[in-house]
Amino acid sequence: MKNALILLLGFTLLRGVSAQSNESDKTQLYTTSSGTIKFFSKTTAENIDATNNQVKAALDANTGNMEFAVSINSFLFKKALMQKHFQENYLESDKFPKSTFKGSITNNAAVKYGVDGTYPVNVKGKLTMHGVTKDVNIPGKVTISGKKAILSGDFNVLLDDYNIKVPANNASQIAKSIKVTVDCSLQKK
Amino acid sequence: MSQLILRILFLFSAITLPFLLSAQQDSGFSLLGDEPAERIKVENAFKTSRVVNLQSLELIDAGVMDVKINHRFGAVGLGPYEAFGIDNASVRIGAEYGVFTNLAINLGRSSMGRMVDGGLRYRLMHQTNDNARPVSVLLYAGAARTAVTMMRSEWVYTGQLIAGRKETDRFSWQIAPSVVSGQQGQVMAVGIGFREKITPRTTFNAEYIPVISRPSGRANAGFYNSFSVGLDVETGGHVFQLHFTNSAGMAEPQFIAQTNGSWMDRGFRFGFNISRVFTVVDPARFR
Repeated sequence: MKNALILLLGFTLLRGVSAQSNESDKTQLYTTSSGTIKFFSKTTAENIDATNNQVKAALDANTGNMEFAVSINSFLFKKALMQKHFQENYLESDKFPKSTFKGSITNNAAVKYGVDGTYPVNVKGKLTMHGVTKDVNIPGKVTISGKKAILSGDFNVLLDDYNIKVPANNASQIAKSIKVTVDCSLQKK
Repeated sequence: MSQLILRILFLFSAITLPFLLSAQQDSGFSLLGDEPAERIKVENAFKTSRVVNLQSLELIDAGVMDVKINHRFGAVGLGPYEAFGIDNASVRIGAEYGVFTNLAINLGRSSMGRMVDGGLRYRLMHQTNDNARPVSVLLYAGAARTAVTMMRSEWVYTGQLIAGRKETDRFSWQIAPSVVSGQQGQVMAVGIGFREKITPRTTFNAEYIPVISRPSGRANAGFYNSFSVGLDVETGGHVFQLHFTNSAGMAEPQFIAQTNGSWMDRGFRFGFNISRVFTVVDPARFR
């Protein structure tokens, strides 16, 4: 009985280990920690833009899975006060320091990672911002250049969707829909 | 019998657990892995660089100018004939400018005592979210020239250490040991202040500056400890600070060492600070 138990335990452990090693064989990671995400708010009163050059991103070429992580406080503005208000009043970065995206390329088979070129893709996934997670669909491009995969695309974010409230006083200066532009150059691991 | 059941249960869980775990990994993949928590400097401990009168933990950003217009009415105890102090006024107009990331200068002119005051604010330590630096610490060194009579004026110096912490996104506190030194001698005080957020754009502020040592003599008699309570209201580019205080003066030597109103005698007054910031130099130049 004891022997059978040890045997079974050993068997299950082995299974777990081998499953994991299979997993790592299957992934072909492209990563960066210095990607760029910009956003742009356009109203007749004022244009506001901010840039974040410290975006972390990873893409698995085999599955098309991708992941982004953005530190809210790394968005830099042209006016210090805007940055302050962005952190303090709108994105509440003390409470929600990070925004993340997890998703996958729905047409990953169309991207030839071994061949240089630009491939239009569609990315589907979950965008988390200000503590709210939403399903999003983003059309974009993957540009392969040697060991690099450049992910680019833009999409619009409705502030209402993410529970970001703009007081009536500032409603004329901040657009309801913010354009987000992604441009991240990932390096093959 | 029960032992057998336990054993079977154990075996069952031992077999299924790895599968369950791996199944979980598949649905919630993690490509970025477990990244170490980022170290972020804690900002916005206060809405502006003053709690009420007391310098706050907040240092103005580099390349930004903050123009401050501060106003105190007369004591409420003056009664209805003087409209509870509304007829009287003490004004300070001043500006602060962020020279570098951790250094700011300020200059102001007060109607009270015909005083011109200026100073340097330097941030020694900036609180971080991981508590590697649990507090923010600033140093203030100021000099003021005040008219004693038409013919004679004198210098008064202020040295202050401001230390404190933003505990939560709503609550911040600070403590500020201070020395005011002039021809009347040296006054030492310890200012304490805090703010509590009421809404994202409104905070409740209070400060108390007990004097712990004051030279004897007529010139130093009849003063009280400064105590102020108020609201900060932020509206876009402006911060309005509305408060009740027993200090008529708004420069350090005046409110720390020479507060002559008493809360007990209705010697407190209504006042406000208006702060307006202007971006003078593109912040990208300081990054």
